[in-house]
Amino acid sequence: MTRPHLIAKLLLAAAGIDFLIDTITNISSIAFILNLNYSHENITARIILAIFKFLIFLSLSFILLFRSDGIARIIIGRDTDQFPQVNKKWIIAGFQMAACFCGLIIIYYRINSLFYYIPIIVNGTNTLSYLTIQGQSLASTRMIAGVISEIIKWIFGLYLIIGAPQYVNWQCEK
Amino acid sequence: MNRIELRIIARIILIGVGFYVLLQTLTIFLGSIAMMPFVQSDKSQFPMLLIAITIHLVISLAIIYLLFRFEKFFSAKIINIDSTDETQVSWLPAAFRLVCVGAGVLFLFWSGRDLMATIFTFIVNMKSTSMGSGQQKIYIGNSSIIAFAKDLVLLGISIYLAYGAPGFVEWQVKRTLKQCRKIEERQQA
Repeated sequence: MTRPHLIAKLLLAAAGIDFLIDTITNISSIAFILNLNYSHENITARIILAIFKFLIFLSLSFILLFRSDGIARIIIGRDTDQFPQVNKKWIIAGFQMAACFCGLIIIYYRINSLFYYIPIIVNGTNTLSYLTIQGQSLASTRMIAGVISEIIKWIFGLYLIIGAPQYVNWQCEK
Repeated sequence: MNRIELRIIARIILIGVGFYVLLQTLTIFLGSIAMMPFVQSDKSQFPMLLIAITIHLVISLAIIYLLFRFEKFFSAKIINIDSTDETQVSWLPAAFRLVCVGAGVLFLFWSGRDLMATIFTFIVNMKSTSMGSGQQKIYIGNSSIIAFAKDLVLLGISIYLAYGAPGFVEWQVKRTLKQCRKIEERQQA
């Protein structure tokens, strides 16, 4: 792997992490739509759209994280093949740094939402009564879906902060 | 990659963060000014809003000025590798420190913005509920304390990262070197 190729792959991996976070956020959107009191046709269309969006984001994140060699090659062009190959240590450190940076940003936002969820959990769902749409309270479903997606994001963020060891090993041995 | 190349990357990242902060600040400032005529509820909040926006603008501009004016100094501080030591290992803490400082400056801007918003909301809420019921006052008081606590925690993390996060960098470097050793051993076996 040459240096430009590595840099392109690092940027693509960071974009893939961003897409993965959006995918996780979509889980709570699907749960939110499921709880809406819409007519049958409306809710089916909305669920299909939400699942379609979820699948697109999931595939994009998969491509950017695990199958980015081809895209990186298109970005950097063929002229860069003459560059010297990078040391394995650079590949490990590069991917760990990208993972660490993304992990720090994810955890920053999670700390923000943690302080949002604490008062709701302590005071009960009554504080979210404004979320009543068409006579139906959405607080509980949305909150449960939100908490689940938050927990997944916490685990993912912490995994990235410790340097995503399995992913880095896989990238290095590839 | 040698020390000079790493310093150039550090400068590029710092200037990049500076431009991001500048763009965000201008967006917030111009957006707030544009929205002001449409705030119908309480015109007496205008001076407070202006003060909050101005303080935020001044702090952000100070961060941007520091990043642009002393970018050479900061990049040299981050990549403080001894000129005689150009080994493969010495750049690793410097590169991790660079990641932490980049994230720290970004977080410093975000947490500063949130802190200003919390202070502004607290003052406005206290004014509007000065005639409200006791329960309402307690609720607003509690939510403000939680918001302040959150902003202070995030500000603390931001300052630690912007300082270079010495403990965290040391831990990360140890982990990376351990992983490198493991992969080398696996390849030799």
